Amino acid sequence: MKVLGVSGSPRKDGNSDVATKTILETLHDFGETEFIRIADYSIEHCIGCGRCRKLQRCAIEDDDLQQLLNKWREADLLIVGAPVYWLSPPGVMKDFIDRTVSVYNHPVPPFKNKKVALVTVAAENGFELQNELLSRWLRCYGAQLIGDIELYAWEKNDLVQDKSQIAKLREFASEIIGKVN
Amino acid sequence: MEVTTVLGSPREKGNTATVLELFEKLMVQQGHKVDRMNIMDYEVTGCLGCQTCRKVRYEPGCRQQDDAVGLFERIIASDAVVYATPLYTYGFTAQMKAFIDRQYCLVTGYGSPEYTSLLKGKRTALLVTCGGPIEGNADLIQEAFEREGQYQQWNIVGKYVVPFCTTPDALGDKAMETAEQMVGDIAGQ
Repeated sequence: MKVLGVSGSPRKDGNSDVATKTILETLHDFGETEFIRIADYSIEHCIGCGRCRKLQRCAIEDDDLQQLLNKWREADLLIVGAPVYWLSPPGVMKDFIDRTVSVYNHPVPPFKNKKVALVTVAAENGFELQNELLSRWLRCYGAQLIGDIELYAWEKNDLVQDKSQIAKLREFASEIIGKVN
Repeated sequence: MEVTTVLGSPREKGNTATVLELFEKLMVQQGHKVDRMNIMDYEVTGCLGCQTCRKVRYEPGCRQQDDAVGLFERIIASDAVVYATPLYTYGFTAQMKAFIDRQYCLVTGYGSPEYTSLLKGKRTALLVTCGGPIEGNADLIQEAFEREGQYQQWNIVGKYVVPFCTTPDALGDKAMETAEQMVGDIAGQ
């Protein structure tokens, strides 16, 4: 089984990275795991050209979108970690989300039957709005949501120093793996 | 009054731009000033979450050297701001979202008695156009705007959604009705 952990945070080694990696570590014995950050890929803004409706792929070809989409396609289980920025995913993650519209009409939905767990980090609130946006998006593309976890953190090392939330993450990892097989 | 209009669409002549332009024309006809900024014409990268700005109180404290701070200064100097965006995957376009995220640097002292925002009391409005319905589609963006407004201490005067858009030519009366309502709410007392 391939488990892909994707962090949508612009902040390297921030709380969403830590949370996503913690889950991957816990799932290490269940298969091959890989951690990636959307911000490490070059993803242009969607320009609303609409050419993808005919092409069934994005007309912008000189960036890393296809590479990133392929990573998602190859995974059996996706762990999607993201911080809440103004009650919705950060701009850098929204770029990827917007560009997936290019495969909206693809005969095989890119995340068809893909099992996805959401890991959401916020300083204070906004979990429900963000998770609703991400859930609606992922369902559009055929994904199956198998769980979500809400974590509180603000400063860069908040989460890594919080033993109870790290324990909660490990427990969550065990729960989701139970739903995969 | 002087109103800043922020176009978050990548399409210069799309549905959002069309409704926004009608609003702007009506405002100018009434003697108001309009300062339009098309986000796609500027370099605005996303917020890095570095938190440096939290230490800067009387000006936008972002350390990033792109066009965002200059745009914020224009917004701060105006009487009202319209944030206009097509709905992309239940939210702002990513280019608009990057701009919205960067507004984090306009708030300082959250949770302390010094809590304030450089946009405190600013008359703001949201304009959204979308291909689908409002319900279950353009709901999250309005809620997010409302709650960001509380945090930014805005005076939100209205949230406007034009649903079931196809092409600008097919907008029909919906465009003018929305623009007129916006003028009344934003320029009215």
